[in-house]
Amino acid sequence: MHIPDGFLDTKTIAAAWALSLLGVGRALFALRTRMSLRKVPLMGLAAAFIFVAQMINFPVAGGTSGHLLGAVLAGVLLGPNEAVLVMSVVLVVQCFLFADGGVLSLGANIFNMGLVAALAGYAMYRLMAVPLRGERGRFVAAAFAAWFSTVLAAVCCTGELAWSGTVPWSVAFPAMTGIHILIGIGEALITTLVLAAVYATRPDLLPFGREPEAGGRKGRPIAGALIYGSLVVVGLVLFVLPFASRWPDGLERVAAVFGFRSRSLASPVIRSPLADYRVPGIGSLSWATALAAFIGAAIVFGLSFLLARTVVPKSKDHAR
Amino acid sequence: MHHDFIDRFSRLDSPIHGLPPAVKMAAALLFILVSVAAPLRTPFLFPGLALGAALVTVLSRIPALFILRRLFVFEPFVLVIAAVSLLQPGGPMKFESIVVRSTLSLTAVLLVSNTTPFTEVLGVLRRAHAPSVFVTLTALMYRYVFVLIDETQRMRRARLGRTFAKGGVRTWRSAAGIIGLLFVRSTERAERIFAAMSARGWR
Amino acid sequence: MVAVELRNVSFAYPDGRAALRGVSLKIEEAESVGLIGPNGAGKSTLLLHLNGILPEALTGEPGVFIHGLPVAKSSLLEIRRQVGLLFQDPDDQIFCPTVYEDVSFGPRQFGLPEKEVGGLVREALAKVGLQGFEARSPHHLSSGEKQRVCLAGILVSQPKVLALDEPTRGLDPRGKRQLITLLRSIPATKIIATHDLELVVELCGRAVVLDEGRLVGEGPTAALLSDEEFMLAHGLEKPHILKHAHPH
Repeated sequence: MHIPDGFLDTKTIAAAWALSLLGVGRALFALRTRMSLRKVPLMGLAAAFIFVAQMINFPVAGGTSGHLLGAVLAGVLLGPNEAVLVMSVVLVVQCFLFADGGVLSLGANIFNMGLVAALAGYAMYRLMAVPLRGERGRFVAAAFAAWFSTVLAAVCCTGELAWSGTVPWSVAFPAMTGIHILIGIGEALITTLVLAAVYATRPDLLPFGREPEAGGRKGRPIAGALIYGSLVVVGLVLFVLPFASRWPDGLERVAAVFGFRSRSLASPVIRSPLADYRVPGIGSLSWATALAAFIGAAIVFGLSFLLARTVVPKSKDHAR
Repeated sequence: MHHDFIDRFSRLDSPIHGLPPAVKMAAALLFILVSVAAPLRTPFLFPGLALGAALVTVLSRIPALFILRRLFVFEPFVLVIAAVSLLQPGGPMKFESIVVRSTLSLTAVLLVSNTTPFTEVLGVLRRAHAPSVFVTLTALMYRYVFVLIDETQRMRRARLGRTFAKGGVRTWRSAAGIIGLLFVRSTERAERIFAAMSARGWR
Repeated sequence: MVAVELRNVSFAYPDGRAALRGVSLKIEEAESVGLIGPNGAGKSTLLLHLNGILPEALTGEPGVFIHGLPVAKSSLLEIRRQVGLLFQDPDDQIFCPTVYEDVSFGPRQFGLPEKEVGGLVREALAKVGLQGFEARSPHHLSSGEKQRVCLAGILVSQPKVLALDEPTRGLDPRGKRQLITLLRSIPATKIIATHDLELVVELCGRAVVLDEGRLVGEGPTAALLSDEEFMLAHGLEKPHILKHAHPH
């Protein structure tokens, strides 16, 4: 979902850049204070690795292929700050060298795929690893996180496009989210299979059970999580929230002063048929999308549980 | 996804190639800024931009066909968004705006990347005081992308020699296996690179 | 003047593998010594000791001395200036996107001004026969050229000791010949770990044999390598070049 130039308006470009620079800056800072030189070649190679991995074709029906995004893969294998940097480097090189994604839109692309996908994905991975114990649990957690990261990144991307007035939210949201719920299943599968392959040859490279603590040292364990979390939340508030609901009246008035308006009121909803479209038995398209998301998540869980069982034999799976 | 490898034309000889990389990058950035932000109906502006791009293309000796062909490769996602944009009040205007602005911006990027070796781009970033870790990572990535691609191709060929059936699931497992192995090899290589860097006094 | 000295050096990797057991060795200045032995004998590990690459080897009493200077944490920078290490895979060693950047890496780390660096790089490239290669991308070079770039990157710091790990691996006969000629022209002390016994015969006056981490033999090359029984006992063979009289 690399957004080319010309699809976003100036304010969206600026907002996305602000968030991305803060996020990447935070990652650089976190790594500088506790990074050994040894990690630099590792991250450089990891960036090359992610880039090449993204090129590999995973054939889907009818001549099309799916591809790995790799944000959660990077997070699981390397850590959250490292994943942010690695994904950002990949996106920068893709932009400058292959014109994949626009130059001004790079801010938004880094935000979606470098910050949201990597960090929200990683957070989800750590979250799910708590109830799902053991090595099998890690695989399932990674799979779900990979799916989640894809869907959330797509939602943010849609929000940016809608805030720019390029597409109407009411159409773009169900379309993009629906498609990425499916794509996310692919991402989950591929991520799990890759982790399984690494597990088969060099299980010591999987930091299962040795995941880094969120944030820096010196007893500030959640500083990093807070900073990253705020960036992602601000992004969601800017790009997504106003479409999902009306802003409270006070905020509306403030926003009107600055020239923004709650977007669910702003541009006229597209004239028939989709505005009034009701999925039989379900309700509006948004609800249909939410249902599709639940189904997608369930599929991911099911598949990943099955996969995890084939990858990790019962004897090796000890709850941590 | 289509990938045109190795800044193919970045080492040709032309008046454009000879320009300092910082100038080209700044000019392209300005060009893109204008293409994205200026009102579409500004008299003479957009035709002027297009003409400028065409002129630079000719001067740079990059085959126009190469640029044109690249302009028509779209991620499916882009096509979906463009189609959806059409379906709204004022759709055709929005669509036109997207097409014009993105085509011009894309041309600018293609021209810069094909008249400037990437290593010079990195040099500009360093001199502009971009965070040095970031630039180092980008340099390392660029250096080893081709090595990893070669490794991947070798792995693929080796597997092809042992595959007798076409199967969706098996292909996925095989492809994921290659990626997994690539990660393991990359980690091991990174260790050796670190040793080599240390041996030459890196700090 | 003793250029390289190992005093009863033992080393085990963190996973417990013993790689060196009580190795003692002295190499004189400007000598060329061939380090041979079967796979897993510890040749590469020994070379890594010369440059202080293995952090575990830097604890405790120093056992390696370069021109009298002990290889320890405090002297690492100076040691790395004096000892040039050539690794097995040139792709691991050429880590910069252009030849110029890579060859200039060492001098830049030591803080030399850019103008001086440029001159040094030019000289080093000329020495290895790669004049004009500054802007080339390493990916497009042949394996022989890559190796020469690696050498240039080491020679640029004018090291007193050259340690080479399997330098002729992957080289075609012409590449090998070029390498031998090149190495002969470099006056530094050389220690070459290799399976290529012909190389040892051509370049090295003395040979040292490692087996299972122990130094099991050393002596003048021709004599040592002609001892068929000894060679076979340590997983080696008497090289053909010594079996027949060659005109050159």
